[in-house]
Amino acid sequence: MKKLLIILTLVAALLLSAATALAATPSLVDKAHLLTASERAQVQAQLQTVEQKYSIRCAVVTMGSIGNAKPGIYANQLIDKVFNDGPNGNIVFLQVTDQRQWYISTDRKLKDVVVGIPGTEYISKAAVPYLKKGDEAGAYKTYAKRVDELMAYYQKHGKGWQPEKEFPWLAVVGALVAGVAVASAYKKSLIAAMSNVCREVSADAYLDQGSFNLENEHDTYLYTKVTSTPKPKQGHRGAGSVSTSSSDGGHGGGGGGY
Amino acid sequence: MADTSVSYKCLCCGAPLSFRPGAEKVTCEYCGTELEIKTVEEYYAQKEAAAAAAQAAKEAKWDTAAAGNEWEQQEAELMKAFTCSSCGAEIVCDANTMATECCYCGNPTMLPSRFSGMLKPDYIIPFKKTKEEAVAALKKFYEGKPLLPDAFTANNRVEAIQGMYVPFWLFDANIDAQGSYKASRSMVVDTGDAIMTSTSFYNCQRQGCMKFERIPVDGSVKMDDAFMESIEPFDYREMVPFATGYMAGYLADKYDVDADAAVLRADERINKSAELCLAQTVNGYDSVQPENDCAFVKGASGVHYAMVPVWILTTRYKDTPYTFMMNGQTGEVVGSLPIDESKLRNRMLMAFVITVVIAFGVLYSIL
Repeated sequence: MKKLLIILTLVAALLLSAATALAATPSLVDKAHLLTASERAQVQAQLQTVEQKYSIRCAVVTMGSIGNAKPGIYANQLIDKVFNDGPNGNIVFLQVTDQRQWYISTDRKLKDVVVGIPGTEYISKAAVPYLKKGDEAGAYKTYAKRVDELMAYYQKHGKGWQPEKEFPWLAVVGALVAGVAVASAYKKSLIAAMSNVCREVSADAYLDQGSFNLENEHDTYLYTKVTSTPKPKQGHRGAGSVSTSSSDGGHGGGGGGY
Repeated sequence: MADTSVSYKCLCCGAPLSFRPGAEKVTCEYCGTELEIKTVEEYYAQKEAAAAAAQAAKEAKWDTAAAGNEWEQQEAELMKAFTCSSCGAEIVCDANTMATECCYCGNPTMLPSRFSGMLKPDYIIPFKKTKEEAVAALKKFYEGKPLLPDAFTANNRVEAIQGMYVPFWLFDANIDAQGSYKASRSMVVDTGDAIMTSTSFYNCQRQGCMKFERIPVDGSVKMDDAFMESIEPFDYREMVPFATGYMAGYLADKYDVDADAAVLRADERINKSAELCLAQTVNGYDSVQPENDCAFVKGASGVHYAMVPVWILTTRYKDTPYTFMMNGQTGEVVGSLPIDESKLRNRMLMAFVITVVIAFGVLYSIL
């Protein structure tokens, strides 16, 4: 609850500052001051082109810090409270510099355009490498370009872009191996059932069970062997990986680190 | 000429006598007279002595004649001729036959000269299962065998069925065994970054004594050892002192694997049992492996010579004979059945297809 209040306060502050500067909130809000004036103009122009072409809001927000808030929740709030006037939908790219995190959030309409992790990765795999290199303008322009491509695909096909599924060679080979193994084991059991002729291994049936008496036992320690198996690292997702932890029924997209 | 064999005939009507499985007495199937085993035994003891003497005399005579014959001495020793006391025909059998039936008149015939001295068994387990029960048990043995050719059961008839007393050695032994085992105990620690597994190894020495009673070892070369061990165990509580009366109507061989040769197999089985028995006392470890063969020393031990009942059933499929054996006491049937290759192929194919479909579905959803 406390976190939510912080987020709402930050978003309200952003909204107030933007409102005092312009009548409508611009699609590029560089609160982290990452862009030069010329870069800002270039990015702004590219975002506007996409927005006008598809009647959507395609925004970029940079923040130096959002406190302890999660970028995903913050970005969702931006969609709900700030960038919510696109007739055909809204999308925002949020970059938080102190956390070195990014997040792409969409509203319900554009959730059908930027479909799940594959859709988000289609944008992030092209844009995030620029963030790593410190070329924020390049990242935002690439973001705008990829949104353009996804919108074009959606308009042409009536559905969001999805990567073509590769032929599942691994599943086929695995299934064949399993089939051979099971069939071989089954054959062995069937053949074994056709004969019950076998030699006895021991004379257990003729051992007088009450006669056994342990007369001597002596255990000697020999040596110790130590092996170490490294545990798989958790919580260190690769820079290119996408988390959809803040995605819900009304929002799409995902984010990660850079 | 004096008879060299003795037929057990009813003391009342003279008809051939047969011991019926499960019966306490020998019963004449013709006049119904019941005779005590002991009575028959004593009555024919004198006859057997006379027959044995006559056979000895005949063999001496026969051996002399054989010196100038085309048979080689080794062959002649294996082939022995006896005279059927019922029809007078000459019965030829091998050197180990103790009881048989005349191939001309079917009369059950004992060969008493084979019972003499060390050859006489100590015990006998009488037949409990009849010929009819043996055939029924074989039919039941065919049930639930998915690869059995349909033609095998449809056209199957038992070609031959013989009740036979098979010579066995029964070994008793008190042993003192010593075994060495390599054991290990593991401890797993999660250090956060890695899983550390520490395994400590130990050498465990164990020594103990135990007693084995009547371990059976087949004393006949011509009986397959695997078959004979497969029809185990026998219920020794029903074992009785040997009496020839029990053998009336059945075939019987004397041993041709002597006790010294048979003891090797008994030792193998004792060794394995002792090893397992001592291994069970190595407790508190995660794994236990024997390091080498268990060594044991025999204390008080004994060997008995016994005759055990076995039904031998022979059938034929595609010109190949198939032999089955049934424990004449417990009814346990053992044997190997023919396999229908097309059935095997179809079932394997079915298993393969079903597995591939299921495995593909599972893997496709996971990967």
